[in-house]
Amino acid sequence: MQKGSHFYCDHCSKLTPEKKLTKTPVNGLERHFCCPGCELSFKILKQVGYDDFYNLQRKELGLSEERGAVILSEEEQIRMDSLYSEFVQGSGAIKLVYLKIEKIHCAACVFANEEIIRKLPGVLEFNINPGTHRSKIRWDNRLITLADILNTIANIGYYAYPFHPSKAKPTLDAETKDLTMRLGASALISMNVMLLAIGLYAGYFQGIDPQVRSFLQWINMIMTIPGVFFAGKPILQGAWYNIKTRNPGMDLLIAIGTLSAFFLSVWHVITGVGETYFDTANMLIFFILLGRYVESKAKQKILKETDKYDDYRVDTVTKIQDGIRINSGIDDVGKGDILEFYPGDILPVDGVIIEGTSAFDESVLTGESIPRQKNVGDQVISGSRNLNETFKMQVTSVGDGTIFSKVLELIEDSQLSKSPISRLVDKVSARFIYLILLFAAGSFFLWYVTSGMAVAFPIAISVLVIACPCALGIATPMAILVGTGESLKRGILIKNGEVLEELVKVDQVVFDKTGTLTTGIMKLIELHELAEKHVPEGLYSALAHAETEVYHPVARAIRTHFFATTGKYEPYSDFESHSGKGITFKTLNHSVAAGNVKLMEDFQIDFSGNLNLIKKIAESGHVPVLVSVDGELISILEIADEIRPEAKETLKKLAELKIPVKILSGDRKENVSQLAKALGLTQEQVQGELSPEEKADEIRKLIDSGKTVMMIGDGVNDAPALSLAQVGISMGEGSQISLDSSGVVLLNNSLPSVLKSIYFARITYGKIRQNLFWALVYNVVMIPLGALGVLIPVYAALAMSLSSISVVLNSLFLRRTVSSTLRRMGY
Amino acid sequence: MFSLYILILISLLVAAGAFGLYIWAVKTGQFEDLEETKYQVFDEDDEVPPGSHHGTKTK
Repeated sequence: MQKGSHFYCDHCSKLTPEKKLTKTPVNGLERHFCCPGCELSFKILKQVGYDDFYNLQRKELGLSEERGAVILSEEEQIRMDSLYSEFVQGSGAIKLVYLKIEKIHCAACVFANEEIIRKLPGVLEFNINPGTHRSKIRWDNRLITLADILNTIANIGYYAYPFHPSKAKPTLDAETKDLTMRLGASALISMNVMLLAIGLYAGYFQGIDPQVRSFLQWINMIMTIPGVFFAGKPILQGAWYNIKTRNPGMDLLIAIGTLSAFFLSVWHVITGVGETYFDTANMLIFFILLGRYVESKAKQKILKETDKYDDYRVDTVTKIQDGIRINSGIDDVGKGDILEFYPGDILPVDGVIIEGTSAFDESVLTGESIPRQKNVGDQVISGSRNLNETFKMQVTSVGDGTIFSKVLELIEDSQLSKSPISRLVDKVSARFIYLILLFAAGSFFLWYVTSGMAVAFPIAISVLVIACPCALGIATPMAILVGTGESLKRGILIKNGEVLEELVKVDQVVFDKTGTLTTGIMKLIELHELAEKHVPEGLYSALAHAETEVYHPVARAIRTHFFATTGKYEPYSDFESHSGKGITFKTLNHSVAAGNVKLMEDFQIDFSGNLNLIKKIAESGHVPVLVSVDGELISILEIADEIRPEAKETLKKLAELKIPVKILSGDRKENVSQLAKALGLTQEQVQGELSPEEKADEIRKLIDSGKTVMMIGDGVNDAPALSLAQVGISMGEGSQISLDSSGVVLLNNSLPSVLKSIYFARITYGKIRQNLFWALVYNVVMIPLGALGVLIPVYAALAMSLSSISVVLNSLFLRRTVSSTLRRMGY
Repeated sequence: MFSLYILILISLLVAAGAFGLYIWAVKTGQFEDLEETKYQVFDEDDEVPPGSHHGTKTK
């Protein structure tokens, strides 16, 4: 294992300098570890007999093996495959499953699980959402099986089972129910114990019949047994696993406090000497449970909002097969099938309309409540609702490939994600607990020496309870849960906590032009009629009709414009499409040509009198389409990619936020500088004629100059730049949404959302800081109060729960802040 | 003094009864959704007892 003065860590095989190494004997052999985490994991794996994996790992690294590599028995493989085939995704060796992990109740639990499981050889990704206790795990099936992972989780004291994220019902229910039961029990017992304890206190001051005193104490003791061991069971269990995994958490602190109060009192009852602290033991548990109950209810409330997606599942559809309508299960629908949908139907698959036209409500994905009208050739997306007409469509993607499924998966992932700041907090609070144990022992000792047991004991308990860093642990995840939920409601999907933190820091925004600042849809913006020429009636209606044969943005612009203005299609004949030039056709005994200069040259049509106009149109970045009738030029259509109406406003608001803007485009330089003029930007802020690679280079330059760059582009040709920028946002509709390369997905394809995502991130981050600040202040102020004996244990427990509850409530306030901020911004 | 013992024991029994009731309530889901309950009167899907014409649905 040695190499120079460096050693390989026996767990993760990281080459570590000798002085940084932890050396521990395990089973008689001296082992080397790069960190205590590796040491812990190694011991656990050794204990449960999984250390064979180390050999496998070493083999891959070209190191010597200690023993033969582990080979999975075929039987085991089959068992696993059949049992979990329903849940496990991924066809190759790399598999993915969603797990729900039970018995997690604090940041340290999450920390312990993540630390241990992530370090298993073969585990590629493992994230636990501290809010929902759901986790996503990706592993290499050649190195480890799901059974092994589940067993390891069980071995460190948690229970994990696979579930299907999109099919899962709110799984918090069972846990909340259990918690409600224990909370109620604890409340009832605490009240009764308190009642008798008051009698005992009164007796302490005024004198009491020793027989009555003993009787009351005995009754209290009997009542406290279920109070501690039934109501407090989750806490005690948690503490036990804390010890087992050597990962101390808040449960351990509470359990030590409660159990020492309980057993000391039992001793006093039996010996008949000294006071009892049964009320303390019960109240501790009651307040801790109360805090958890509030937290779990709050989570339930937030998660309910994502539950609405369950309503958008459809089991059967009407399939058209050989001209006959048949009812088909959704699983039997494949790509290319023809489906028919009636008004009110929800679309379970993506497709293209092939017959009919209808309005669609896409609000579940976009947050946009105004229905969208779609016609033949338009794309319709899964999750949208057909509003008013029956139509037929051809399926383009099904199952996990649909946009709806992809978005659902992303939502699940975004809730699972953790921000770097919360990882840091987890680590700090896990260490913090050792400190508290030490501090409590220290204060007990000092008070014991100066004032004796009766004073020292409650103080030590107070310190243990009050120092609990649980508010610290939930400060970040709670705020992220609420913040991402709020942005999702408005059609902005922030992929994870890391993106959220980057969003806050953004100090350079880069836009692509086409499809981002412009709509990407060509429009006829002016019809230049050449005055002295006669236009036959119905010409433009026929032109609109003829253009339906061409799939080209310009053709679409012409068709849409003239169909809208004339309201009808005229018949035409002898249609011919001249690729890259235009079209020719006949209508009402006229022969018509519509296209660019080249087409006119081909047909020897004279356009020299209008060269200036054509030139002017081309210079402003627009497209001129020349229309001739019977060899004579009659009009010029000016067609352009329209600037999004919100573009100017968005840029203005970015300027107000003092975030510099740049435009990088692949379009011609004249077009780009034209756009800059229209949007009120300087020429230095724009660059044209860039290839996708050059765009990426520009982004890299900006990042190298220390900027946090947000890039907004269409997912298709800006993908390299998008994935390079710290925050990539892809605009676009339907299948164009590039879900992979961007960190923020705008489901509603609206430009102001770019701005809103920055607001959301800033508000959420501000809330995180606020939460962390209050949680810290609480600990800093309260620990000395506890140590000085100002707070009795019951108040300590109350204060601790209140601090957690205040963090939860403060996070919920985020919703209101978001709404009011957006209103102030004029959205 | 004897009455005190009796009374305390009786109160414990009453408390145990209340606790039993509470367990039943939790188990049957009485606390599961405190929010929705108040909207139940607006639920149209309630079963209509046969013959009662107040509940006749108009569609």
